[in-house]
Amino acid sequence: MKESLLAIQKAVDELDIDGITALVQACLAEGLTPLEIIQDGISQGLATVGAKFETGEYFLADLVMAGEVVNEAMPLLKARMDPSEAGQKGKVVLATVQGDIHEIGKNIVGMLLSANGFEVVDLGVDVPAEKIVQTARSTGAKLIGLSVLLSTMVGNIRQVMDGIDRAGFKGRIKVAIGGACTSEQLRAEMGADAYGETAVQAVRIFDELRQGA
Amino acid sequence: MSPFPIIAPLASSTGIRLTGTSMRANIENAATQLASIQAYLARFPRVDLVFPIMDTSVEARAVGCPYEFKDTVPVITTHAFADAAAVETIPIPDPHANACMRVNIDVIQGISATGRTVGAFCLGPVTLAAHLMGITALVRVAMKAPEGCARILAHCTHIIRPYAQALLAAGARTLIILEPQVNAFSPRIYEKSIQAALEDLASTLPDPVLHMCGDTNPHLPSFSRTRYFTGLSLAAKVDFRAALDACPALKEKTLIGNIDPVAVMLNGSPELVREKVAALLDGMRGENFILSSGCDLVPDTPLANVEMLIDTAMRYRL
Repeated sequence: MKESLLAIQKAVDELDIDGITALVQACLAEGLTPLEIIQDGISQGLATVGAKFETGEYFLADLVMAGEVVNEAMPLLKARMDPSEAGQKGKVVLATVQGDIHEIGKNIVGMLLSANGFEVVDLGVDVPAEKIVQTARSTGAKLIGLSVLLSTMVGNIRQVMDGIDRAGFKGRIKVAIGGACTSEQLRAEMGADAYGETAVQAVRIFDELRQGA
Repeated sequence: MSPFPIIAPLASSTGIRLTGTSMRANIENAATQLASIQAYLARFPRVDLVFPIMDTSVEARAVGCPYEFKDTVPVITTHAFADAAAVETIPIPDPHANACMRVNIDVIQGISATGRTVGAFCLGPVTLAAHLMGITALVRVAMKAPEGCARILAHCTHIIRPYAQALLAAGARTLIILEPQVNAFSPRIYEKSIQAALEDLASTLPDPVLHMCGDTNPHLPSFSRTRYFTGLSLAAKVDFRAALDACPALKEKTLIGNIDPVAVMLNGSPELVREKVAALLDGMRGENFILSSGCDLVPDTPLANVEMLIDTAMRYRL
């Protein structure tokens, strides 16, 4: 592994928001492609961050900060990226369900998915079920991620599942849920396809879903 | 000597259902909220300590942050202050002249006038800063610019303190300082960038309680070292008995809580409520402890579950 890519991994892992841009520029100057920098540098750094979160070494604020580090680097990389390389794993529609405005977890999921080859269509917060389903249809996305924090809003997951069913896409558009009040039991009750206990599980979950979508 | 246990669920919002009113009407109108709380107390007269309906947007709305009512709660929709310099321009509201703060002062006054022991809520500086700046901007400052963070939290404390003191003057026996955003930060950042601001606020208040949401197990040693707070109100993810055994310094604080407001109180059966309350009380005999819910109960919480919590607790007094 090139030293420059290890430096990128370290910068992401250590939340070095001040140093990341220069390191990315150095990698580009060496002739590394944006995709290589993302896959072997940034993504690996995020995997370490995710592992530290799972073990309790890192907290939500550290994940947010890691997202900020990646956000510093991505414009530089996207400007140099071949359009065909971006989002090669397919599109994911992300939304916090209607009536709920919490977005930190969703934003971290979006950042992780973007850095790992997915094209993210982030609809934001308080999004009606119809809009989520319609966006999936119009963009061709086969994957939807729903975030719910408020227990009073979990019924909106069912609204999305029913909307997918009415549109004739049952089984062809896969839905993952996450958020403080969600659970595997809730996933089963709502008929969703996957449940993520933490945002860092998102890449694995959506990788598995896209293989079946 | 206080009875065991002191019964203080955060359950006033169930009065909203009893009066058939809306959350919005209760948040915006003191008379409506007082009627709801009176209905709650008429239904559950055996609680020892009563609280108003929890609203974590008061201080932010009081300084003009735009908000909307999303379903049942007011939500700050715009985080307009980008940095310390911007936050420091915010004028300190006079709580008695400010409509948002006045509602809660009047509610506390109204409950206190009935002779009931009342507690009040105010936001802590971290969560207020998150409302003003957005959580991402606050994270950047807390983790990378500690001097700027200190200035932001100091000004937020300046905003909160007069309101807190007005609530006490209105008759609140205790103040619970709400900090649901604190557990987003590591204990290291808490001690480096947050603890001093919380102590600054608490140092001027009598017997304040610090309320945190989520899994704060990693933070408990830090909380035990946070000065001036006499109580810690913690969410259901903390096992109180295990926490006291692992961190004996916590015994200096009164632990308050922590029956799960959703999994147990909202979605559980009365039998589950009894089981959880009994287990908690069995573990906390002889400790500084107040029985409560881990957070505010939602209005739709089954009344039978609230009754079971109180009934189970009363059996321990026999």
